[in-house]
Amino acid sequence: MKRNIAVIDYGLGNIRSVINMLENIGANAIVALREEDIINADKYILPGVGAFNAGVRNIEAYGFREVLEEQVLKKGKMILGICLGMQLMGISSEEGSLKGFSWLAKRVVRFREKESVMNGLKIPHMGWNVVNEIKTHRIFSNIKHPMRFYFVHSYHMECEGADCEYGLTNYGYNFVSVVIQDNIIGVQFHPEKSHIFGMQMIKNFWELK
Amino acid sequence: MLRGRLIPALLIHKRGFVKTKKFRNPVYVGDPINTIKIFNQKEVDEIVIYDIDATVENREPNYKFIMDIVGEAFIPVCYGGGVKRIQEMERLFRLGVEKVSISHQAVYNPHFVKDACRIFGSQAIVVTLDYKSKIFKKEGKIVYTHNGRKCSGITVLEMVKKLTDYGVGEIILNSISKDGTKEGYDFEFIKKISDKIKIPLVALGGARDLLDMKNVIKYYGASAAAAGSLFVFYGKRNAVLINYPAEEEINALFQADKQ
Repeated sequence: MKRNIAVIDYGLGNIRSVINMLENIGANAIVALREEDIINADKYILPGVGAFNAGVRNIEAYGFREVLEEQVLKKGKMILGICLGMQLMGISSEEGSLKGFSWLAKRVVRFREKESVMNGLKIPHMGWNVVNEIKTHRIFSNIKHPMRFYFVHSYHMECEGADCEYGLTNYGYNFVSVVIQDNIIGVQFHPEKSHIFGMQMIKNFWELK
Repeated sequence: MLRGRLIPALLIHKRGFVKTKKFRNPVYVGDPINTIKIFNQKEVDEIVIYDIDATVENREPNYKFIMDIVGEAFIPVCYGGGVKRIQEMERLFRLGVEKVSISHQAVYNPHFVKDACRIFGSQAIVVTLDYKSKIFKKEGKIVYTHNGRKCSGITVLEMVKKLTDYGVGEIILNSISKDGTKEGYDFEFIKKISDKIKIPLVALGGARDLLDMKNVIKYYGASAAAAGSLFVFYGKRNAVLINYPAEEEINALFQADKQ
């Protein structure tokens, strides 16, 4: 059967842009609305536009928490979390009180206002910024340097030198913009909105085995 | 480090893209899908699209139309026009819109902004304030709605304070009297407001050239510079031509010290 990739629709993601880009690179993309869509898919994209608590609540209301855990943790299927989708993979967030998937031993924190403001920076971090690849991975293959991506967020995963940190971005200080732990990949920026850079990254993810 | 964003602001009127002057006399500049495709190829930072008919006609956004546009945009899109309800915003985000701009509803029902921020996160919520000074009055710059036709009686300053308290992610200040004039941004006013807020402020209305855009960002506190005419008209005769500087040109401009 033809390989496919499911974009998980939990009511808060920008599903359409992700699908548009997947179709543009020739991937066999579906929108996962039900549990069986998830079970039948080969890999996943977990998009995200929204607040942390709303994200957790919707994932649970749609009944996706257990099935994703099963497919990602037990079956080892690949998943790419985008923005809030990445943050949901962590333990918790300062933006909300609910528990994330906890696949990554990472907490999500708000931008440290003092340091940002001192440097004349505003929150949310909104716009194009550079991702520095601190460890090589095929997800970065063939992307033109400097790798520029579009960011829109007020919260981020902290840079602590953990094994899962693959890409860092500087906004007043370094934060983690790419996390990778085996089959689990998270990116803080929006590849689906980062034209040539994002298109190459999505293509890399689709081609990852 | 992040450089300021340069944002084409496009107006939808009767299913086409138009450009106005002081919010009047819309001139047709092109087919939306085609225009977006060109901007996409030019790797623009971001795009903001306003449906200038929606609030005036008291209708919801034209979802089908927006879907077609966004389907061609692998760049961040902010949509504004006629948004009054949370469900409408949810629908827009699902279509692939990155940010939603609220104007009328933010002015007359600011609590809506608070709700929207709680649900979708501040970063996805933008408020665009169309403003101008009232003749013979010294009450400051006043916010207008309904395409500049309805005076709210509320000053920009008051509105901005309220909106930042309610958690809005970004504010676009759109000068009605500068719109389409290419006579320079409302620099001093942008500076005045940006000094008072911590969230990103976007300048719109009056951009003369790229240097203007750089200056409003580097010296007047804007996080981004938006423009209509500059990116759709070209040359002295204002011929319609979709244009946008290359990344190298933008970087060179921002690195140079010339004001």
